[in-house]
Amino acid sequence: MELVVCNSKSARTRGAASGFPNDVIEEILSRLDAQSVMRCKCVCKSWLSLITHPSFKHRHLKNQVPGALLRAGNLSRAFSFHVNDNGNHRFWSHPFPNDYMNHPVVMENLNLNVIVFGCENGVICFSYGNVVYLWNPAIRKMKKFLSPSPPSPCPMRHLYGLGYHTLTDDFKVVGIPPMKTGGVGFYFDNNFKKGNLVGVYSLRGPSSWKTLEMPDLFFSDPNCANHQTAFCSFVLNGFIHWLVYYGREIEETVLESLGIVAFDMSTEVFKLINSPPSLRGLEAYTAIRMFDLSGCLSLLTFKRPGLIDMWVMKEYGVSDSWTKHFSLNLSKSFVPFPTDYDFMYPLGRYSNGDLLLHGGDVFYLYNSKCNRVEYLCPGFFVMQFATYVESVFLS
Amino acid sequence: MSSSSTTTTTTRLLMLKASDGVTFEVEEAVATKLGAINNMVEEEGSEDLICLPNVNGKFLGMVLEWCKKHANNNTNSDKGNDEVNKWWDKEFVMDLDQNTLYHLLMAADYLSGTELVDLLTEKVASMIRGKKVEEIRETFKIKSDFLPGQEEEIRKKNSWAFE
Repeated sequence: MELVVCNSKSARTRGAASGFPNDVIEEILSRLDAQSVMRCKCVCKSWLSLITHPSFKHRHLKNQVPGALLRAGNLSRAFSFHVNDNGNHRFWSHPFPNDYMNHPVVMENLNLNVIVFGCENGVICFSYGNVVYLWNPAIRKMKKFLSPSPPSPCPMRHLYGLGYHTLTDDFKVVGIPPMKTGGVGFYFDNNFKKGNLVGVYSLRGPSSWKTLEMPDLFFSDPNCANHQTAFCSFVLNGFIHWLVYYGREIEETVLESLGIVAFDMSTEVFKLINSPPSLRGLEAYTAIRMFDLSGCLSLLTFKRPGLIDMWVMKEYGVSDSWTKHFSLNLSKSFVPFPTDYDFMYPLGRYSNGDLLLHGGDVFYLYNSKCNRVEYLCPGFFVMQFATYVESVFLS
Repeated sequence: MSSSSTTTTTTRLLMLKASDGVTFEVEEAVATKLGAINNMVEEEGSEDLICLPNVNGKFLGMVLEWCKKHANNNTNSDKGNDEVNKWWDKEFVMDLDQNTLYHLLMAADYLSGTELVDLLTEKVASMIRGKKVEEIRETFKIKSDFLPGQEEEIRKKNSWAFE
């Protein structure tokens, strides 16, 4: 018996140029860096229409190597980036966008700092004073708008979160003013307090904030009067997440419990997700990063000296499903140089399992394949960390 | 190159026939690295002969050579495999001339050899990365079909990308 392979690919229309079918060309173009993609728009009409098609940015994103955005803890006027491409490490930095599109980031007031609130699909959300910026450094595109309400006196500040909503092909920014009470709780911003007015900004929508009222996330527990968020927002499953410390004050500025506030970008509803039960008290302050492990919401926690745990929420939103996925003792991994674990802590995790570590002004990498700590390069104090991937979103 | 008679395990052999009549006898484990053949084997069961009217013998031979290397390397269970495959892939695409690269990619795409398509599209991408528009057009024999002024318009919007 004879069989003939004659699939749908046999008789496809060829692209007008170069002889390859259009989806092969799209695959080729989606492997390029953002700058090359922008240049390829000029090659011919068919390439231009492939690149400007709404689906292209997603295919391009999928083919890029994820990296990290590192915001230095001083008033440095740049963002730093790191990419770990199969052992090839690349660090670079990008000055704040003050030179194009008539959108200067005003830097004359040194009391103000640029604060990063999230990074999603290559677009960084940061605030400076009362202006919110969405910036894609790879294609030098920026959008800016005013915060949803007038700024509160320093050091109080608005909290933001950035998400990309797939259904509407749009970026959503959530802006939450602080809600401080006098006296007790002076240290806490209390953004998620019941009744607080929250702004939601959709980039494609009207250029104004839609106002929502914060529900009672903490079930009116009098012990939860104060809470404080930490670190950048993180997106998974169509939800924007913030790590939040709440509950009784067990020491000055130290709150008892750790939770995750989640905002559903489709229904625009907030909810509170509990952390693993063992992360309470001072232990809670060792939770340093949310990340995505095969589609599950996960936490990276750290305890001196050199103890790193990973927690995975097997079933999204179900607190009982937190499972300790992985424990690592840095002092038991192979370190080919003398070092002091006391000062080494993880900044974040790469999708291949490697960890970016920081210690004594040096960046290290924990190589998960070889269970080995490797020296990367001299570093700097990192105030904020987010995952970053080059993209052509926002173009 | 076509079949291996040294293996002692009894693996099924498939007969593949290219557009120019050249036939290849290959182990099923090798041929099923190609999605199109894998689907056929799964759906139709045993066949004596599989005809591939869109690939000629030269390029089918090259595709199968790649499949064979990867099938063999994957059966060895040591950790260095990834490295071996990567090294071998690099060699495989290094000296491909543009005509061969074109036909090979068309063949891999037709046969749904996903990993091979990845390798070859990456190779083509490396010929575009960082190049000027004029160089890209020349390499791929593309004629600009923009109306006068259209291209300048696009350039102006992202002038930094052309510096």
